Amino acid sequence: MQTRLNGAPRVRPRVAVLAAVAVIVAAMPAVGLAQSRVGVTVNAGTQATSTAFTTRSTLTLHREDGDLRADYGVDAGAFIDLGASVRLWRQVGLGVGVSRFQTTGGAGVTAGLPHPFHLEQFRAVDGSAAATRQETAVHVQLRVGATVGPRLEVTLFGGPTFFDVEQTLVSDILFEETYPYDTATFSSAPTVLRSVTAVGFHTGVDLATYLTPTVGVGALVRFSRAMVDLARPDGGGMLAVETGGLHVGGGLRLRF
Amino acid sequence: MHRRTAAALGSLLLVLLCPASVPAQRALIAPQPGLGRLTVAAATPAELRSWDGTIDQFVQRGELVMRSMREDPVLAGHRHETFIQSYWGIPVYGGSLVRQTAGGVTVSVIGTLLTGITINPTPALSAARVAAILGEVTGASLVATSAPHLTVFRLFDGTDRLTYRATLTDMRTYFVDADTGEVVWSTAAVVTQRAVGLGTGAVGDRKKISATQAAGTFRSYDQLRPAPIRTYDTRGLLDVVGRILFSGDVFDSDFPTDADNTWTDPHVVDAHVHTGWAVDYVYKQHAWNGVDNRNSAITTLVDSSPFTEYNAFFAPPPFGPGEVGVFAYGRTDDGVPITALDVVAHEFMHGVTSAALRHRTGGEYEDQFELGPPGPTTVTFEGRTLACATATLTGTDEADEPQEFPFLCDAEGRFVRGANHAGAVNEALSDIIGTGAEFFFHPRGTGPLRADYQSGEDILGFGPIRALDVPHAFTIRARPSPIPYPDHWARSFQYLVVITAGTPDAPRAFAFAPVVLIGRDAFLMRSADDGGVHINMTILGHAFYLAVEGGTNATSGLRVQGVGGAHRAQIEQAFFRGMTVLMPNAPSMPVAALTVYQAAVDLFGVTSAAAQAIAQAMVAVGLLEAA
Repeated sequence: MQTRLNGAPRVRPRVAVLAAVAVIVAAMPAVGLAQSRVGVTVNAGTQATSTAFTTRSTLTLHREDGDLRADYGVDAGAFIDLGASVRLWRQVGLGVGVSRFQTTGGAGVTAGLPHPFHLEQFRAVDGSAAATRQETAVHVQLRVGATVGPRLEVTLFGGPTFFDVEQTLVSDILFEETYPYDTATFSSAPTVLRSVTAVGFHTGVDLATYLTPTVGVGALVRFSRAMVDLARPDGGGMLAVETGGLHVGGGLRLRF
Repeated sequence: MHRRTAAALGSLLLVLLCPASVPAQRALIAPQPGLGRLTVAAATPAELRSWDGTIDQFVQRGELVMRSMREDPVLAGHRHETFIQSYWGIPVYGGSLVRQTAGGVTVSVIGTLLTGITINPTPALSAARVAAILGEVTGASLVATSAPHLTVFRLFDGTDRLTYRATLTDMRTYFVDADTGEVVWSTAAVVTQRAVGLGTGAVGDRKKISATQAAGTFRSYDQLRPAPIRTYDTRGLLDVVGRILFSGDVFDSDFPTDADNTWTDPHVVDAHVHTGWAVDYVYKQHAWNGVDNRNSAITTLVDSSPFTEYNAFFAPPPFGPGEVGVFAYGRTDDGVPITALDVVAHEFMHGVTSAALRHRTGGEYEDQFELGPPGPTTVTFEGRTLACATATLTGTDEADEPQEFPFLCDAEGRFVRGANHAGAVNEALSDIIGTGAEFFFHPRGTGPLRADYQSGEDILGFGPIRALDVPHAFTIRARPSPIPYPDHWARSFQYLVVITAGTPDAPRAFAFAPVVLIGRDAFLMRSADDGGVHINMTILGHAFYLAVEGGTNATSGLRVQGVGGAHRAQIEQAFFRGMTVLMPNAPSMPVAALTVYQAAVDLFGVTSAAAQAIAQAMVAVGLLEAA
């Protein structure tokens, strides 16, 4: 938890939204099903959570092993989402949603470079590299809906999520050095793109209100999560990385 | 009996020290050796102005020739002019001056002039004829492009000779009378690091080696440093040694190679790597680039032939293929390479000294055969009393034929003595820089790969061969008993002189005898060490130690307040600047002491701890006296 200078706790906005939704669902009375069988949702919003991870690899230079470290931050970013659902029985239905999230953040790069003339005399260099995370997720969901009041439809959903994740990883470091080579300066950090699929889960709530019998607007709150294994850039095994997060957005609602 | 007295030498050595900008400089003088040869003028601006005028007159008359005028490598606005003494256009061996100015004002004048030269400057013999004579006498030949050239040379008896100077493949430099063709003097053309002793060392330390990949393998060719380093292996073949040294021809096949760049020959590894470290040390500590401050390519030999057994040496140009000479490293008869860091840095500094003096003066750093105070008329040796007039030394001549050599006596029948103090200065600076490099790369301590004030201690079966902290703790083999290394100017080895050509009444050529006196007792050593260059060096080296660490000189009892190990670099820099920027090319040891002190004043100020420590140290070892 972050704290202010005066010591009062600070509630982060996304946490506040989630709490508000929970209050709404809890207060929701049991109502009849919507009469439409098929619904379509189009959303845009933000993946409100951020994650971080670190890669460490061995850098062999001048016949000696040094180390290369990259600290990645997957910051919050925009997502788009397209979904469709069908009511199967009473308030219960099935749905599928496809979301896409992309963010370009920085990777902090630090390295201990072996000296060309001396053993165990490492030169520290640091810099940054652009690192992109792209997540395409297919959410297969069981949906349970309810109507609250005359206009509001509330749908709870959850199920498996199939992630396709692309992540840029720092694979090397380029630097400049001049005699006597006691120091080096960072030039750039080459990267590689890793792509991997994984299965996780999601759960969430959709709120919709219809302006016409078939067209409405709504809000989406969804949390998804999976662990994906990325191949390390140095070939040294796999790297487990979290994917998914909290999506908060809204958009168009259609029902037929 | 015709005996010229050594005191009749008309040489004048002058040292003027007056930093006009620092009038509070401590007045120091060099001690008089008793023969009136050394004069140190008072350090006043007026006297310096006077010498400015004198130098200008000498230049106009052609008696001094300016060989270089260089900006100071460290101090902005400082300039150094180096003059070589000339006689009818012929260089005078040992005569040179270095004038330092700051903002156009003379700060110091240091050097040596030989006066009273009156010889005929026209040679009777041609250079080609002298080359032929040398070949007949020595069996050696001229090195590469080294042609005999005229030089005025002053002998021990005070006479001047017009000589041809030439360096031969036996690695000696000869001075041949240009009228008679007689060899009047010879000296080693290489500066060596050698001794026989016992000690500990020879460690199996891992280190990086900068190599070059070529033709599917790796060569000991360092191209990472601005000054490329090529280390060749003669594979113990004398003809390869000769080819590289004397003709300068090297082939790719002379490179030692390694298939996987994991080198296992410690001879190659240590010679190559430590040469690189020496390059790094002079660059980082002294802002000096490579051997010659121009990053010229460096040639290093590892050799397992008898030529370099128990030896390492630096051979200046014209030896070798490059611009800066050749560094060669042998091994003990047990196969232990003579390539410890302090030894390699020692030889490297010889290269630096040679290049610095060559570029400033147009000539090599030169030995100076300085006369010491005369000895007694009789001495004792192993219970026998020997008179100078009748004693002889049994030795061999240039043709290795046994011969009896009479001793040179002065007009009073006293043994004439002398030493090669310039050579000792050269060796001392190399030991100091070798020690500095060791402290730069190794942690302080005792044992292998630890920095200390001993030399060659990491070479099993070779060192330590001497020490700068306690010189007298090490001895030189001699009959009837070993003699400790000197730690004070008063204990410097003064060698008796023998006549190698001519008669006692009319001597024509001379050499140092491997005999020194302690009181009236004579001690016979294995060699004269070219006038004690590897022995008297410990006097100046001990001053370096005292200036850094402080302490009391065992002979004088004088205490020195050193700067402490944390400020070691300042003392090293003063010595390095003294040699590379200010030193004339044939200094006596007191002149060298003054030069180093002047360097400390230039760099750190007259009131600095470094300048004061050096002044105290030079006084403590007897090289300087308080005015």
